[in-house]
Amino acid sequence: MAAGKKYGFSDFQWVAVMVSAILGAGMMTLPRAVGEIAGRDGWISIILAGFVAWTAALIIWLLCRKFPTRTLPEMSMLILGRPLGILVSALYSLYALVVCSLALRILLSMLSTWVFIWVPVPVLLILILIAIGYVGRMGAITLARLMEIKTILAVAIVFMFMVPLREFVSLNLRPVGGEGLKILQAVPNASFSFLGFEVMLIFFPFLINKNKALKLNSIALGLVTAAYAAGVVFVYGVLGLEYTLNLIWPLMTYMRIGTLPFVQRVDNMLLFAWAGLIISVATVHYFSATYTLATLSKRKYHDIWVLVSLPLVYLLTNVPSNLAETFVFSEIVGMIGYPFLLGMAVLLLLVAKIRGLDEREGKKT
Amino acid sequence: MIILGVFNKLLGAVKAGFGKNKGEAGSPNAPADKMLTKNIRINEQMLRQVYKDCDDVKFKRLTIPSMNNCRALVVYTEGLLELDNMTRDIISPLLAEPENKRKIEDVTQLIAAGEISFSTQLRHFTGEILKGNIAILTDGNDRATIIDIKKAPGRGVEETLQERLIRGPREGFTEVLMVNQGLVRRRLPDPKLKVIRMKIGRRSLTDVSLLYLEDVASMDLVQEVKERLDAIDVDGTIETGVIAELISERTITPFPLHMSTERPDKVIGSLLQGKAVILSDGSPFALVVPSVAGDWIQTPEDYYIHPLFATIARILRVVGVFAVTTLTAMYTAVILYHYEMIPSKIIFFIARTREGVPFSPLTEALLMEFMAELAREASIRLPGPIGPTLSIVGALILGQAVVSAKLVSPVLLIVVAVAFMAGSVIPNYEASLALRYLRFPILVAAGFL
Amino acid sequence: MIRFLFTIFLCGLLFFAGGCWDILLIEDLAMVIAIGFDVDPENPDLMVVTMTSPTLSEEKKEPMATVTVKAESIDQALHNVQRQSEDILVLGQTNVLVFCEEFARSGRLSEVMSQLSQLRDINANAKVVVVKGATAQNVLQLSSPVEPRAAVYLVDLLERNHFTGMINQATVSEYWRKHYTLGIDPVVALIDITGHEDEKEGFRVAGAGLFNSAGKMTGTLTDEEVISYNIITGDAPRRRFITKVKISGHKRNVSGLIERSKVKIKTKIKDKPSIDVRMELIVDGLDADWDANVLDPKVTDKLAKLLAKDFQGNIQELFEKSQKVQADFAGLGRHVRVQHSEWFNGKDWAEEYKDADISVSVKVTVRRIGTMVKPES
Repeated sequence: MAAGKKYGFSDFQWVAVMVSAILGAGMMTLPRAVGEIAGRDGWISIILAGFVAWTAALIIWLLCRKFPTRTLPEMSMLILGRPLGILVSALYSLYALVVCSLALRILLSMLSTWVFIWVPVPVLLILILIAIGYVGRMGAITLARLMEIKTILAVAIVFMFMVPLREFVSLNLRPVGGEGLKILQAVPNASFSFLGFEVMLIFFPFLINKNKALKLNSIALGLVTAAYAAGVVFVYGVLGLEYTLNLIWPLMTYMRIGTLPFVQRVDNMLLFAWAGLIISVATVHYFSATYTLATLSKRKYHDIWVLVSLPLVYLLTNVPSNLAETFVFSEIVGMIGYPFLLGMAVLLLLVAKIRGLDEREGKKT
Repeated sequence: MIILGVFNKLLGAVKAGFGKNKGEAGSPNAPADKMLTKNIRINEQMLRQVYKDCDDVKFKRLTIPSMNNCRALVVYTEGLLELDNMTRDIISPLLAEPENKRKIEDVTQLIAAGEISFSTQLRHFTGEILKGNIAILTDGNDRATIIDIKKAPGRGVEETLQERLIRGPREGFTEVLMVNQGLVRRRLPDPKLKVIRMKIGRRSLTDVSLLYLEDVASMDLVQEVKERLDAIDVDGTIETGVIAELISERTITPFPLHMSTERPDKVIGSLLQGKAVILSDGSPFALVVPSVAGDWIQTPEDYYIHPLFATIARILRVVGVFAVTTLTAMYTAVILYHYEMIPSKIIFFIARTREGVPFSPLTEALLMEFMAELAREASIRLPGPIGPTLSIVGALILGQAVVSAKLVSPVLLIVVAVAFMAGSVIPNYEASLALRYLRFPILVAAGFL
Repeated sequence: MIRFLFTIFLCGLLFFAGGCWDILLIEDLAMVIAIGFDVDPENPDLMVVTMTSPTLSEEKKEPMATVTVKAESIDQALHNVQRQSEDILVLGQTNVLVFCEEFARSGRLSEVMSQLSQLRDINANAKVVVVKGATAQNVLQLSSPVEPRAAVYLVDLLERNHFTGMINQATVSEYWRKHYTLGIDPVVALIDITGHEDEKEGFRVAGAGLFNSAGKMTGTLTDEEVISYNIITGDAPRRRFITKVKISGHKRNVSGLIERSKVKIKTKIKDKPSIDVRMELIVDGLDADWDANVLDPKVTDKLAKLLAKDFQGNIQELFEKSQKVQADFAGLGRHVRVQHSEWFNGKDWAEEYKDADISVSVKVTVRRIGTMVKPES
């Protein structure tokens, strides 16, 4: 925690943290999830969902902009008063912890399906939780640096992703736009995968170039949208829609086709690389949850909360008893997530407006 | 990581031992704050008391004719200056001066050699004498004149052993601070290049210089470095490595937080980038602070050759960093758990060579890595001509014997050898040390899950 | 002190929490490189499964260990083989699946394929082969003088012949994809045994097997027809052809390379789908035995037209054959779906394909003919 005032998130670190918070477990199931409703035009739904997420991020940005030095717990306590502020922030931390555990749960199901067949799930979970606790214990800047490195390394994933493309058949994606209104119906389903941009509420005070925040958010969300849309296009193009819909983990079957001269199976490599992405999603959410709790309890460092919350995440991860329930849970969380976050942001914005609170430079407080 | 953390902590404790004895303040042979008197006999007695049993300190009584035959005492340490120079440049002008001067200050203006300073504190100049300066005391004066004509024994400027280049200057730093400063200054004759001199170590009084470019380096950085250097409180610093350990943040990391180099051109490059450089007397290594991970894989040669090849070489080194840390671990993990990742063309070959090997791949890999480290350590420790011979013997004969005895599989031997070479690609010694030992925990982790 | 204890605890955890649950040490594995499936003549519900894996140690006499068991499903077969194996049975290096013809025709091949897709470690790039006139067990137990390991020989045979354009690419994942995707049906490679009934010498690639949408093999393509198949689908990297055309009253052998082929498919729906397949082929390095001057542009043009007619006839025949067996090998249905998706959605394509009008038109451009001015003078 060497966070003096001169330290903060650089532009690239901001993008990296935003991307890390969003891009994760969604990709593994997204081709099936959108394909069930929007058919072979699912990727259009994803791009539309990207816009939806961007709009939601815009609302949150409007809120953050008003209080450039305050994180969510601080601003909610300022705007709503202490009791209500604590309630809102505590709800947010609970939500972030649930997102963290769900991401982990999906990762665990995937790992135990494909590579760690005989390893007991608790052992895997504990090992991952140790890593998350270790990273989450450090400061925000350390987290940002880690995410920066990870985002650079993610370029390797992009290359891995393109290996099976020699089997790409564009006929599988045509006719484009043939599904009509169903494309719009799939947007809510697709937009759940974009949840994660709300970590802005916690990290905004750390950003150095605050006036570029909107641009950086657009870049981050653009990258994520491109990644998701490209993933769906690739999977449909190679596997075909009907086969994709019949698979629980379409992306893994897609990767099984790829071979490299020195690696016969690319799917294992991708799985490990992707596990890193999902763990970073969990870590960013875990950090924001514990940071919020620490601020609520007026602690300067959040070490204690990091340790206390780990068992909670462990328990939350074990709530769904099987894979089917996991998917139902993630749908529920997605459905609650958007209204909760947007409702919270709009509420805070309105109350701030009514009470005339605004801490931007050149404005009265 | 964790094991390394513990290891690092232990190291930290050992290093901290250098500065542990804070109780005994000051140098014991110099009574604190004792001042010179005007009587030269008392002064001489005092000095002889201080230098009791220091037979290399010589006293020479003189009478200076130009100062009304004033009695004088010259004190110096033999071996740290040249007697001829002393006689020619200092004693002769003093004695030969015909004009009647009144004060030693006026007389010394005629001395051609050396930097001249004055001191009244015994404690201050007793150290100076031991560093090779000459002190002249005169009767009736409580100030000693200190003349700097020291000529320390040391080697000349030679090519560095550790950071060799094919294309680039051959000069390397020496153990003498003045020479090192000169090497830097000659390449950067800019008044904005500041050289801040300070003394570190209660006993060793080591001269340490902080170099930076005033209008390029961040003043926050320079200030921070100065503060940390000033805060050092130890009996002695022998090497810049000790200084590096003392000024770095107390974090548990095996990686170097500074960059050390023997090459003046590397130092110049860093200075021009706005970094600060610490030079210390007695050490041919300059410390460049701050340093980032990217510095590990840079050599000055990258700037002297065509950018294309420099880029390729750097990529090669990045690959080397990954190879040295993870190659053996990856091999072990794939052999142990993910056989399906190996292409069919080679898996049967690997399996056939492993048939009959008694150890599990993890044990096997640990054994071979241990042997590789042994060979490396042995080739460093052995005297010059034998070293390379023995490491070749170790590599070839031992490797061949181990394979034909079916103790390890030949594929593993190849993997270990590649990892070993990859470790030698990294130019920064401290970083390559850290990376090389990092592969052991990674290897263990790869073998267990 | 607490930190120190915590560190020790973590170190301990590293050693005890980690484990070797998933250990698959490669020298302890029986890596199955080929699986053969046959119908059990006594009980039609069972299948005869043959698995071969290479023996690793030098002391063993046979280079391959081949085990044959009877089972109801692939999982049961794995159990049964494991009971006879000293090593751990794994499928990650399986490179070829061999089915006997009866097995494929009865539709059980599809069942096995969907069972295989449930297995985690099956190699999705393994080849799928149907053997004509013999059992898969025969094929895998053959020992040819060139290569004693039949399975390895088979894999190499299929790979090289696909590369040279003699056979289509038929992998497990391709089968899965084509089986599930609407408007295209799977095609697998076909081999047959050389030698005579009592003494089987080896095997050769013999064409392709056509599957209908229900997953039954309904027809086969001969080795000549596979070349046309490769030209239509663009499947193989190197496409060559040998044909006979009638030039000035004589039948002449003509062979050459297809440098580039463009296929445009246009569909129309009236009361039944009519599909117009337009192909443009660029032929290079043509080799023919005749006495005309090949540097004369007229000769080249004439030859191009003759070749076009020949190709047209061959491909038309191929489509008619496939319509009879209701196997849309070229994926014409996908084009219909793209161009008339509303019509396609409610229909059973397999039935529609049978009665569809398919018209083929081929345009050939000849780039270059041989290296002699008058090849036969």
